[in-house]
Amino acid sequence: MCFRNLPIEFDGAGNARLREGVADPYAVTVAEPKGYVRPHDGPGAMVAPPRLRDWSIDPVTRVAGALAVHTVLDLEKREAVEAHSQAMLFRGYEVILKGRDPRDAIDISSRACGVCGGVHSTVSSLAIEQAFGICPPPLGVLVRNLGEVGEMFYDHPLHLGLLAGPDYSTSIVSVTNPELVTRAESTRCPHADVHGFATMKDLMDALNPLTGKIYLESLEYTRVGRIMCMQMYGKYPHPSTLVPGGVSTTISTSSFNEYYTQLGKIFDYCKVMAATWDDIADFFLEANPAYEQVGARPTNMIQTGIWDDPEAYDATYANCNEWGDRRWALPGIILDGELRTTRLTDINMGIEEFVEHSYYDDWTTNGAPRFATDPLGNPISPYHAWNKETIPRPEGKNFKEKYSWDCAPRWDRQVMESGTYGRMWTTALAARTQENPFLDATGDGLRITLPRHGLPETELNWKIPDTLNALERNRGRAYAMAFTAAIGMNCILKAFEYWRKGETAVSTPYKVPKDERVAVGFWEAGRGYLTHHLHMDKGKIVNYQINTPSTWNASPRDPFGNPGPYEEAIVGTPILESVSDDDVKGIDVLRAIRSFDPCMPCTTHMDTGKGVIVREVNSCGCTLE
Amino acid sequence: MTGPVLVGGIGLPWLRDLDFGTQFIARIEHERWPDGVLLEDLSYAAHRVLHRLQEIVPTKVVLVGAMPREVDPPGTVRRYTLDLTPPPPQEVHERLTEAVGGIIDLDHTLAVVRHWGAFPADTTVIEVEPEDRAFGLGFSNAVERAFEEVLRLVREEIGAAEVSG
Repeated sequence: MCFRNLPIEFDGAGNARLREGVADPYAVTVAEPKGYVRPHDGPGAMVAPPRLRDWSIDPVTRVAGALAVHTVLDLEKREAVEAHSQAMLFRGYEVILKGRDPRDAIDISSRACGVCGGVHSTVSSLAIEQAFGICPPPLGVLVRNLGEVGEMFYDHPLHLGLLAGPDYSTSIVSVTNPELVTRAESTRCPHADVHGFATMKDLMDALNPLTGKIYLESLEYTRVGRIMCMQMYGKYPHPSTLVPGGVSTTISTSSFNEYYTQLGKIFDYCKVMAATWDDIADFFLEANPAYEQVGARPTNMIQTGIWDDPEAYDATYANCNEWGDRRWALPGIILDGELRTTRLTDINMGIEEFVEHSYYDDWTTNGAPRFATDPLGNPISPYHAWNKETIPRPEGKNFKEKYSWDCAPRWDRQVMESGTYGRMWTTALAARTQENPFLDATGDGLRITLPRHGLPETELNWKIPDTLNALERNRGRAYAMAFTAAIGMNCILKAFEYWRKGETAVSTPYKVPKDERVAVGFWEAGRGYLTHHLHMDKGKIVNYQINTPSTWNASPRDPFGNPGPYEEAIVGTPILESVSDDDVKGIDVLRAIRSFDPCMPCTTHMDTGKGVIVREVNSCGCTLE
Repeated sequence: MTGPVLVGGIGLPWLRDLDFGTQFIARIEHERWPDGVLLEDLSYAAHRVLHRLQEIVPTKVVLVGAMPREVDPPGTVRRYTLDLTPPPPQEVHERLTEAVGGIIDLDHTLAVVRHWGAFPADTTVIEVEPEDRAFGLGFSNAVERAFEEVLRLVREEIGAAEVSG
């Protein structure tokens, strides 16, 4: 059974329908937000009150954008007992895009993210080509894949090296847990032969900001990723060559040759980073098994899949389950660690967005929804993206009312996380991937073979972790680089084949249709899930909705009272610092948050009533509207 | 062989006066400039600008942008020779972590590029004090009036530089 909460069932032919006899299948019964209850009453409450400390981080640094987190730490139990995640900025892309030529969405939506704008351009072009009824030629699909492989090599190194890495560096650990630094001095690195650091102390030194070898190398590798993007897109960030039906880049033999040269450099970096994060994760977990609970939450994930098979992808919604299933990284829903579905129509059907605790008005009170079904007749909710309207309403001043510019997306009314590790997880659980000599999905993990470069050919094995927690997110992200490189290798070899056969077209002609069209682009960002839902008519956009991985991950509580993924991951996180209460830095809470690689709109504060900007930045605003 | 003279604009798209650097370059790039002068939009994150400067190794850099310092009236043009002493490492680290998250900011660029020593000794910054920072296109009257003065200063800087062919 795919759906547990929404009354959706399937007939014998696999067609979805609403269960008969349910009067209001998408009714929402608002519940009290779930949260920590301070024991004001009851025996002993006044005798031994808990040693609680309100602890707010605003802004959370070393994340992309403006995120505030408000927690309550119980210093007696040494754990976080309450959390609220606040996205601090309204961006209004959906409002900006209304009434525009749909092709504008490719360039404008790209600006939603200052880290990886290419993913937005790509998913936008996917949505538009679906609406236009066109399909790129095979090499156009592969060029897009290769560009997106390059983009991941901008995103992942900067997160592991510059944003999350310092949390495990000597400079930070020596303040929060000096005993771990002492232990690190006498601990040999199991993978010293790969990364070259003899002791864990050497490795942790290499994570130090600005001076550490890994920090500096990671900064340099973001450059390699950008060069790979530029070989395919001509320009990066914010490529202007992604178009409906392919790319407008002038591709030559040297484009592929130079790309291949850069990919070769990446192989060794991937081997080193997988070894590095294996050693870091294992060292912390062995030193104190309680690190397993830092950032832990249920294994519930949603992924939309990325990297299309040029022989399967036809851009249609009608066949999205078939071409989605041929992606190198599979879409999927994982609930309690079990793979529930890989069908994009199931994923799309179950999506709803709620604004009970967000600074928006509920649009469902404005009459009947535009669409009761998707284009194939599958039921969709009034809260679905195709029915959504973005109506900013920055009112409500406390956590019981409204407290975030982020919405609360849910699938089948359940709290879902997304991540780069999530697409490895779905692919591994499905135990299938494109035929690829460099990659094998084994059911319990992935076997990745990276060719020889400076380092010898290396087989890496990523195993699905028992617990989804901060260290495993980071370890997974390190292995995701190898996963991505293996896919890049496979794609470039296929591109060479098409090139040799003379199938060199990378785009297809099109006309902008004037009738009503509904479409969706499914793709993934560095952090996972990415959709753009498009409704157009008379050649203009009627409605455009962007939904990103951090929209899911950073979400506030939903109307049913359930906290979002960051909030879930923080609550229960132990405070493992070996310092006095007054010296607690909250590093474990920060590790929990940063392990998601949050992508929020940057440190900007806008009074939407007066349009006053206090500080001007142009930023990554993936999370928001 | 010496490197080029780089005139770089840093702006924030669609934010009126704050997009001055980008729009300045767009307006002047089709005029005649001496050989060896590069005009580029550098409206991207600080470390990306660092990598670009490491590639082209300019002999002189002129950076143009609008910066709200809020000590001068709108439209005020400030020109200064950049002191190449970088800020403290902690500040560089904080600015860099914002930059890799996608923030475009002239001060971030000045900090990060100085830390890695990629500015030439002859580096000048020309800033305009903005007035209108709302979403939209076009400058406020005060900033529009400053345009010619900024152009004059850029020409003066290029004229003073030894431009190679």
